[in-house]
Amino acid sequence: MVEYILGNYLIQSGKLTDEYFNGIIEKLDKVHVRLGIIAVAEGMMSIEQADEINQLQSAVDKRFGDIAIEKGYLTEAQINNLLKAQGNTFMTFIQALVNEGFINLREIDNILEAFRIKNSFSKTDMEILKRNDTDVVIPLFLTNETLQYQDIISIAIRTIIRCIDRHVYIGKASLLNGITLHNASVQLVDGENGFVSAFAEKDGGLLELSSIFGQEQFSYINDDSLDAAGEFLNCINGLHASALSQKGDILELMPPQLVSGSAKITGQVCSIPIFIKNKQFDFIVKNLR
Amino acid sequence: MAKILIVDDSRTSRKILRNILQECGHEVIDEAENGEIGYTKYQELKPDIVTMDITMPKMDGIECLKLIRSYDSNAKVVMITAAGQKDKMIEAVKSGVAEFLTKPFEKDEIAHAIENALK
Repeated sequence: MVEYILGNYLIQSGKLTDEYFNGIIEKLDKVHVRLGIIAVAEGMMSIEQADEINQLQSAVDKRFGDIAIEKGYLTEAQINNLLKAQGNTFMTFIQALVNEGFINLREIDNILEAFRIKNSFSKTDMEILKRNDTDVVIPLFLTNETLQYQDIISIAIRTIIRCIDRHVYIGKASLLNGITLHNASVQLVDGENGFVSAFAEKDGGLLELSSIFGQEQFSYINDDSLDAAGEFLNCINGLHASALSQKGDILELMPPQLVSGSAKITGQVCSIPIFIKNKQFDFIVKNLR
Repeated sequence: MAKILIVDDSRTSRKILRNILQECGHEVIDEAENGEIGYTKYQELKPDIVTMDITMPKMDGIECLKLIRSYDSNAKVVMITAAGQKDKMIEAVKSGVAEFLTKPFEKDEIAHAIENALK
């Protein structure tokens, strides 16, 4: 996530071009190995156990390592060693920038400090960003008013990382008084603590998501691309409803609605920009209670 | 190899499921976009297995499962769910569902569920 935010800053500062940035990301992707694959290759886990965890991740919003520990397949110490072997994407990105000659070692601190000031991050925030752990990075993009939406936003981002794009990143969330959606997939999750959520197109991000999840290259937003987005939204809402049901809430997922014209959601809604390959769409949530 | 009828309101899900089932060597004999059409096509085509989305407009998966099972008590229906649909899953079990599959689809999971349903 953070590699894209920093990368965009470097492009805007003239230290990097889009082309070189995409090249570096491509190289990082080539060497990135999923945790389960490292665990199997190291003989810590069987292929069947890794497959079982991958399948469980469709039903419960938990990280691979957390499920492996719960199942007794791996210890916390083993997970920590695997994460070290996998590498931190943010640090690997910085290393790639140095290796490729875009910045030198002496410049790193100055660049990161300028990046911190430009984005109004505190020094503690920067330490969190460097860890590149989604769960702790997301709250940095939420305001006090939007913190109540942290759980579903975290589920959405983790599911996008798992199924769509591991480099997804977000902008600052905002609380709005009503919103008019154009080209969106919307779903009502009915019940006492029910909610409405939506994916709304902004500048091509929803098209990217639909094309990847729908396994079809869509060139424009239509009912088919919105259907793919709606199905993905259904997966996210299902995971959130599942987490809420652990607390005793009874919720029913209604079929996703496709908005190819416009539709209005009234009352207080949280909107957070999400970027896939630098293209934006918005994730909108409204709590019904 | 099984003859399979896909019942799902989402074109995306029908397409992805069709591709995976065909890769697994099964024959998708038809598709339906809601429970009403699904029930009619079941009577016409008598598939070995029906994959049925639990959440659909007009007639949902549970209602269609009940109709199909009352028409043919040996019918094998694999119910497609998202996470967070525990109550509906319990209702599906009571109504005679053969297996469950969770979205997003995983090829191995689908192959396993179809194999189990055929037993």
